Amino acid sequence: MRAFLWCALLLAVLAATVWRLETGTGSFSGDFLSLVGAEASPQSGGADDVEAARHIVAQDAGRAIFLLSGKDRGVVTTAAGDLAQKLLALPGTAGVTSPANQQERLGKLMALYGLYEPGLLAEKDRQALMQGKGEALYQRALQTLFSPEMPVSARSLAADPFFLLPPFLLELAEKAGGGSGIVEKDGLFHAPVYVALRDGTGLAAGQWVSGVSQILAGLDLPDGVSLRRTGQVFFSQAQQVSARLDVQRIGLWASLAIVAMFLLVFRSWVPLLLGLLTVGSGVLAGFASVLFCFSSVHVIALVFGTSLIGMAVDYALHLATVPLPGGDGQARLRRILPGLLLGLVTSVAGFAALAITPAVLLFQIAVFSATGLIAAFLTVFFVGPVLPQRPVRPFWLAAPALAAVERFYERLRLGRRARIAALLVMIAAAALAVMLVRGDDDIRRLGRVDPDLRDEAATISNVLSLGARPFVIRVSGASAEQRLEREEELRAKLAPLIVEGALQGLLSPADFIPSLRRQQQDRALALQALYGPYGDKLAQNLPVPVNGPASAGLAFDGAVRAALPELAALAYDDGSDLVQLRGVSDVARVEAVVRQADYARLIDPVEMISRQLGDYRHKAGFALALTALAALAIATWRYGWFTGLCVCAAPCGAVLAALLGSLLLGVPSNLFTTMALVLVFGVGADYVLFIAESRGVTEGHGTSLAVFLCLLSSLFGFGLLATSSVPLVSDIGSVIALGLVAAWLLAPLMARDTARGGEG
Amino acid sequence: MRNLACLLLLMLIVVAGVNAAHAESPQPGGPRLGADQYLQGDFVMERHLAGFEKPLTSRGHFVVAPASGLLWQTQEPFAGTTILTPSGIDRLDAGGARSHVASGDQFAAIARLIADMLAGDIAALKDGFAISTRQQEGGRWSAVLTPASGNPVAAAVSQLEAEGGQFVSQVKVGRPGGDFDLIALENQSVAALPLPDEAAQFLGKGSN
Repeated sequence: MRAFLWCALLLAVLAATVWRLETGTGSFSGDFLSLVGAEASPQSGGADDVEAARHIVAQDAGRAIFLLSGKDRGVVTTAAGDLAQKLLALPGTAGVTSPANQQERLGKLMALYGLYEPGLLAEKDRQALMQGKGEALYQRALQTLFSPEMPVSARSLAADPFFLLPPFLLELAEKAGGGSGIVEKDGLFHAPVYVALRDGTGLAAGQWVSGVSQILAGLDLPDGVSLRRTGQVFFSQAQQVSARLDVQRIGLWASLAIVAMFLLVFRSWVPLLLGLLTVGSGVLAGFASVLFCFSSVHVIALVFGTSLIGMAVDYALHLATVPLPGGDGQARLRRILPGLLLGLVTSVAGFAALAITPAVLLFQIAVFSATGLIAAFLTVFFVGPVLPQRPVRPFWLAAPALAAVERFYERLRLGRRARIAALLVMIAAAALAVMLVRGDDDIRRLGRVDPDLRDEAATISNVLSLGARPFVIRVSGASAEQRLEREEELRAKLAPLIVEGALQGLLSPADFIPSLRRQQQDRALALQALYGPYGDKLAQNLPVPVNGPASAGLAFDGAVRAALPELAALAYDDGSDLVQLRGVSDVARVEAVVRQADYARLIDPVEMISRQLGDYRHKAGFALALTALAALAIATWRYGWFTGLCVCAAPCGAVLAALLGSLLLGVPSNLFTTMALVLVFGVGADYVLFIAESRGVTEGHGTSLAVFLCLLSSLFGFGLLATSSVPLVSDIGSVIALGLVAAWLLAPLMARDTARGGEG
Repeated sequence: MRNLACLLLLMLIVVAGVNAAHAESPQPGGPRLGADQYLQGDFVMERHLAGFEKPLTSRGHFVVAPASGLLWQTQEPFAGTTILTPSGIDRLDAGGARSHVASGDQFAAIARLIADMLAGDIAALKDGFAISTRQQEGGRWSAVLTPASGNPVAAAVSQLEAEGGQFVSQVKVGRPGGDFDLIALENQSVAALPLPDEAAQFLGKGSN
């Protein structure tokens, strides 16, 4: 009856979960950045900086660049135009900018700025007027007036008789890095095609990249024209494909191996069914709990949570390996219940420690894993005993092997002094780990970079002077006007660095819309140095009167934002703007200049996110330490202080072995490998607790076999990850494989030799 | 740079006229101005602005070479030179000071049209314009080009009207709002490259 009620409850949870997903009130999230820094940071401005970094990286994720190169300018331009048309027609493309469609863009800019010319001076015109060189601008106006390429109208003449707007727009294009213009370099013409995606993440991005691949496959490039592409979307998709293929391969082999293991050992589907029910119910409960707590389950939480719950298959294995003679299912359960409960409490305590960190990502993993593990335990508790009970019946080939392993395992015992020595060795190992292990949180090292894409990115970055990393400056200010004024001030401070080559260029909202103060100054300057002395002379050649500039300034409002989509990336919230830096070659000098302005902060998104991951790594490490303390408390309560210390030392030793072993293998210490250590600790604690609980009772042999089967299933499930081509995945696999083998060996060594109570 | 497009369209008309002049049938797209030739002549440009009777009038000399670009030298009322090449537009003031006005890539599509036109490929113009031509007596002809929907040039040019015989004699560039430029071309001649030194210093020798 209890089993039926529990299954009914699980089905109800399943129905509620499906309903929540179907109605859109709950969802998956694949955007890693959405969780990074989602929590408030105690450092002043830190949270805003992380938010800004996420904004920049998200913007980058939604952009792609194609570069066509060849010796013939016209051929390259036409090929770029053809490609742009194809990309524009591709579902998921929001917009395409190529050399061929800049005229349309300029028309829109002219329409926006048309009435504000006198307040929009190019820097070189401003300097000319300040230096009293109004005569040159007057002469330029006369020449422009009679130049055939200039479409003069009565209206445009009345608004801008000295033709001050075209230089402003030209300068704006230069600030923007030449826009999408042709670049001539090394004897070749390069035509960039910039693509904005509607969604640079998840499934949509994958479909878009597939579409691009089809376009490129069918593209008939002219002779001598080459094509390169770059963009975060290509890297991430290539990485996802690579990771997916690895995980599919590993998953297939792991599943086959685990199924084969169950069938070889039990010659029955029942233990396998119990294992599946246990893990399945755990995953369902974990997923549902996160979905109902957060409304969105992050993929990383799902992956790690599922991995951690994977250890719950050990519960099913323990139940299935208890010798049958002497009891039914309930009797079997009673024999292992203390060990299961201790293992569960220890693991849940560990995950609870993860939950007390402020990191949303870790909190989700904690909720997922703790809830899931409890549900898995309850499945074994309620359902395990009512299923048909099957004895361990290994095939003849497996039987002697398992017996040999059991004999070996039974001999792994240490006396009190040896355990004291082992404790000292572990303390020394811990000291060694503290000295040698250094965190490496660089997010760029987590993935496998496709070498072709890397080369193409390097070429495009070199041709377009993009610089290796997307630095930005976050400019704070109480109002849009104040921020614009500060950006103008900042540009003036950074201008010498551009001249000296430490910086290729920068682009800020103030470049598009100067502050009202600047516009008023420019208007006054134009009136005093140009309209005043030369207005009447110009009027003699014009059919319209030359009046001084009188229009109000161009305000930074919603209409302007709508007309200038570039501002979406630069003015991203109400309190701060972003200034994009291009081609930073001397970070220290830029940083020194920025530091002089208390309203500005230099942000390196890659470094910022890596630092955040480092913060998470520290928190996960702290949680691991708390878990160890909780395990020590439980073990001491259960076994007394010395044996408790030894029991607790077993998983700690496994963690140290994994840590130092991965150091020898060159596996970096980062958030994800630290989470793998959490799993190692949880599994290691289970092993030693099961062994400790079984020592001294007749069913001890069953436990040795169970622990060995647990090790095998975990190695199949996690250890094979070490063979992945994706560094992140293989690193996790390596740590887990090392840790689990160490945990398996240490469990019988550190567990005492009597059943319970007193010193061993 | 739709304004640049206007100038290039003007070049198209001029060159089309040359092509027509060399053709047995004066249709744009006939035998082309050779890659080893250039065209030169004088111009009078009247800039008519809506609401004003008196136009802005300028006079000068021009040189166009298919592979190099256009030299537009205003002599009256003020001296000044506009240099248009595939890589951009530059200006020379009366004192000889040169300034860059725009990058050439922004009108590369139009420059491409010129190349197509020089190659006798009328289809290139048909992609962006509705073209109607009319044959007149004495070998004279006229053509009306209306920017097609979606052609960015339409924002600056409402219609182009050209007429001529052996050479294009007049071009009217109509603009939205009623303004228009009327350009009369005179004393035109075709010669073999290289360009004369005065033009060559700005356009190169005239070959690729």
